[in-house]
Amino acid sequence: MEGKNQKMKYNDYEVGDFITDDLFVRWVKHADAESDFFWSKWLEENPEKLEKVQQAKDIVHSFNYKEVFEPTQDDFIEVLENIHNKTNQQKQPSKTRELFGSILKIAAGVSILLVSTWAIFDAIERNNNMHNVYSQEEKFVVKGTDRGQKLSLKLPDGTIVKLNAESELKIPESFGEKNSRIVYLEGEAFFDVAEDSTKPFKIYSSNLVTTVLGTSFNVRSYPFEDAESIAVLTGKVKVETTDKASNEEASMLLPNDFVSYNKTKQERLLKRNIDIYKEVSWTKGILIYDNTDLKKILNELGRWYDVEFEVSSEVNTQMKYSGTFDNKTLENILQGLSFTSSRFSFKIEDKKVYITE
Amino acid sequence: MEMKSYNLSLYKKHRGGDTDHIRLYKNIPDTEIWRLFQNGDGNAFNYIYFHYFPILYNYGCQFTRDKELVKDQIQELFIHIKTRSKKLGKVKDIKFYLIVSLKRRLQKALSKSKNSIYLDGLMPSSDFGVILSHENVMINNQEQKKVKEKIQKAIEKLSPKQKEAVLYYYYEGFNYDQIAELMSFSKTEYARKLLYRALDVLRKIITSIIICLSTVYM
Repeated sequence: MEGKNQKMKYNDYEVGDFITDDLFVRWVKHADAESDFFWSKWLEENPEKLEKVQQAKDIVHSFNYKEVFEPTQDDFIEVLENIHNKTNQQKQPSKTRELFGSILKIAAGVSILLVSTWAIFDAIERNNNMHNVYSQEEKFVVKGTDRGQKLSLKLPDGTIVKLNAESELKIPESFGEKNSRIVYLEGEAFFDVAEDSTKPFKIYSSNLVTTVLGTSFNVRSYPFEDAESIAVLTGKVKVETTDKASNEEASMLLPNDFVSYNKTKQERLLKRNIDIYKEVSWTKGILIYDNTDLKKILNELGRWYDVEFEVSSEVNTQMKYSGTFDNKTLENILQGLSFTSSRFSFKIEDKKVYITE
Repeated sequence: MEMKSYNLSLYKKHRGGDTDHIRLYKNIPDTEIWRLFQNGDGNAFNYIYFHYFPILYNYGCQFTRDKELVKDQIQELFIHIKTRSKKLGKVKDIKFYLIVSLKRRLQKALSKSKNSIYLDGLMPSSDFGVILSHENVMINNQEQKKVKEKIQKAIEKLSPKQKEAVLYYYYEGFNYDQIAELMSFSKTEYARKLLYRALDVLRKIITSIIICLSTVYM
C-alpha cells in the first residue's frame, strides 16, 4: 500500500519525473483498480498537477516504432487458412471466408444508401429544420456507430472525422461539388477539417449549422440530450441556429471557445477559454468527468460500452463525480467511481449493470 | 496511427454473424482467455489470432524486410500453440508470450539464412527507430510539440539496444522482467540499468526544455 511518503514525492514532480517513474508509467499503460484509485485520489488532492500529468501521459502515449508495418487482408486470411488446414480442424476454408465476409465488408467500411424521397420525408418528420437542405433523391454515404463503438474516417477532401458511440454522419454524394462541403451529424464527432478557403465546410446537426474553413473542433448533438454543443480546438468556426425565426447573430468561435444550444429554452450560450481537453479527450479513449452527475456519466458509459444500467432508487443519481479514465474497462471505471466518498455497489452481468447502495 | 483503427474495425463492428464472440473477449483478463483457448474454445483462439496478428506482424517486420518470413514464423507459432495447447503452461500476458516466442523463432530462422550478418543474437534492421507522434497532441500544442522534438533528437543518440528497450517500455508496455527476458539479459537488473540510463537522458531533456520555455514566457 502506498504510504504517505510515496504520495508526497509526487507533489514536486515535473513532466520528466513522471514519465520516468515506473509506477506512473505502469498506471498509464496498465491501470488497475488500485492504481486508478491512487492516482485519481492524488489528482483530486493536487488538481494543479493535472496539466503536467496529462502532458506526461501524452508523451508516454506518443512513443511508437518509426516504421509501422500493416498486414493486408490477404495476409490475414492466408495465414489463418494455413493454420486451419495444417491443424486439421473442421473449419473448412469456406467457413473462414464466411467469417471474413462480414469483416471484409466492415473494413471496407462504406455502406451506400440510396435515399428515396419517401425516406427523406421520414427524416423530415424527425428533423424539421433540415427540410430546406435535402434535395430529392440525393444519394448519401452513411457512416454510423453502435453503442460501444467509435469510428475514424477520412472524407474525400482530406477532412478526418472521429465518430463517437451511437452517432451517425451522412455525406451527400455531391460533397465538395459547387462551393461547399456539407455533412449531417447526429451524435458526437470530432472534426479535423482540411483547409479549403474556397469551399466552406458545413455541419448540420439538429438545430445548428457549423461553418468552418479549416480547423479542428468537436460537435456534440445527441437526440436524447437536452443541449447541443460545439467546442473549438484550433482555427475559427462560425455557429448559427438553423431556426429562421431566430434573429440571433452567428457566433464566431476561436480556439478554446465553446457554444451550447439549449433545446428547451431554445437559446445559445457562448463560453470562452474552457478546458477544451475535456470536450475532445474521448477521441483518445479518455473520459473526463469534472463534477458531473452520475446520471450523465451512466448515460455516457452505457453508450461507450454498450450496456444498460439499472439503478436502484436509493442511489442518488444527481451525486457529482470527478475522474479521468484513460482507455479503461467498464469495470475499472465503476470501481474507480465507487471508491469515492459516496459509495455505491455495482454488478456487471453481460450487458446489464446493476447499481445499488 | 492508421493501424490502430484498422485493428479495431476488423473485429469490433459487425451486423450479426460470427464476429459477435470477438467483442465478448475484450474485457476478460489474459489468463482467462488463455485458459478458455486451452480448453478448446475455438472463439478464444480466433480472438487471440485477430487481436495479435497485426501486432506480431508489425513487430516481426522491425527485424527483417522479409515479410514472407515474418508471416511464415507467425503461422508456425500459431500452429504450434494450437496443436500443443494443452501442453502449454499458464500464460499471464498473452502479448508478451507471443512476442517473445516470435522473436526466438525469427532469431533461429534468420541465423540460418545466408543474408544474416548478425553474430550476437538478433539486431533490429531499421535500428528500431523510435518516433514521437504528434497525433496525440491535444494539449499545449506548441510547448508539447517542442518537448517531443527535443526528446526525438535525444532518442536518435541512444544505442540500438536502448531504443529497443525504450519501445518495449513505453509502447509495448512491458515491465523490467519481461524486457530482460526479451533482450536475453541474464538478470533483470541489466534491463533496469539499460533503461535507467536512457530514461535519465529523457528526464533531463524534458526538464531543461520546460525551464527554457517557462523563462521565455515570463
